[in-house]
Amino acid sequence: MDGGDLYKHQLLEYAQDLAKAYTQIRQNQAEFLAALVSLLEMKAPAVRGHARRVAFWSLRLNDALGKPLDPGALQAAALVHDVGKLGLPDRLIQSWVASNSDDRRLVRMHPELGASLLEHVSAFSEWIPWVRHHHERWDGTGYPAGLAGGEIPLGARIIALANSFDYHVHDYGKGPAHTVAGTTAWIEKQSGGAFDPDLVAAFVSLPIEALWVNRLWIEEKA
Amino acid sequence: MKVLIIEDEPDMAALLAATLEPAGYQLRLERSGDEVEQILAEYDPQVAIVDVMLFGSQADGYEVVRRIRATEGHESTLVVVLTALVGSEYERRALEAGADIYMGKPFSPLELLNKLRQAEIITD
Repeated sequence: MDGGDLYKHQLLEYAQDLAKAYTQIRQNQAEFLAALVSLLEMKAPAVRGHARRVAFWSLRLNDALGKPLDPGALQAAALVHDVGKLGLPDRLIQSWVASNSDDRRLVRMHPELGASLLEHVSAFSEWIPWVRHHHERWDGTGYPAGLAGGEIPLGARIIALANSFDYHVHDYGKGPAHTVAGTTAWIEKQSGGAFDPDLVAAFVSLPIEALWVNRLWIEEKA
Repeated sequence: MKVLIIEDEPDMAALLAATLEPAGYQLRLERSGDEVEQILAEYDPQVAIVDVMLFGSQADGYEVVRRIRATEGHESTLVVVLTALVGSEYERRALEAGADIYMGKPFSPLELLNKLRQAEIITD
């Protein structure tokens, strides 16, 4: 091998190492997020699977919109959207039912708590606002910032809808689960209220029942 | 951590620098090992990375490694031999001359960084 060939081969080694390092970083990030979700689910076994299901519906919504957002970033944000609940008293993590105004005030802190926790990792900065604002409402009456309409980042609007859907179709200790059809009808009614009308239209265009029956999110990997 | 690189190929030397500098290593690049004792005295590195085939030098890499080992204060300096001469015979010669680590070219930059890091942990 002459000097030029060797140099070419050496450059290829660099390129391969770079690709390996990039893959490793992405994998480490995904594993870190999975660990956070597991920690939350250890504290709240009743809501096991909620994070993965919200990620699943968020990705389907993003698909229906023509993938305006990076699916990897959206999946990450959706998985850990509730991670700020780790900062709440255990009784509020477990029950999801805030029975008095003090508890409600605490629960409403979870998007900000989650965003502050995730800010320790600079690589997450792109999608942290989606976590922070996933309880905003299209009509401006949500929290924490009371943003309205297009002021709310698209990722947060998507997670908000996916989150509400999954919340309504499970009981999570809050009361009986609603049917998929009933929840979908409720979401349609919330077009322009809780949710972005374009997202509601995209959501109802999905084969919701078929996706629901197949429970595809169980197998979906990062 | 100070690293001395003895490499006659400027392109290879540039790649090594691009690998090690962002990782926080301080570097001195030399194209020949003929004056290695003087360089050691001036620079006092903790790591030496030596190419075997040094065109235009009197001493080849094995000789340079032996001279590093024979220099007072550098008996335990970490010495890495990098060479396009790949094979157990060349590895044996490098280790016999006193090298701690032998790597064939083309080498994996991640592997080089990992080996340096492991060696640091051991010597810390």
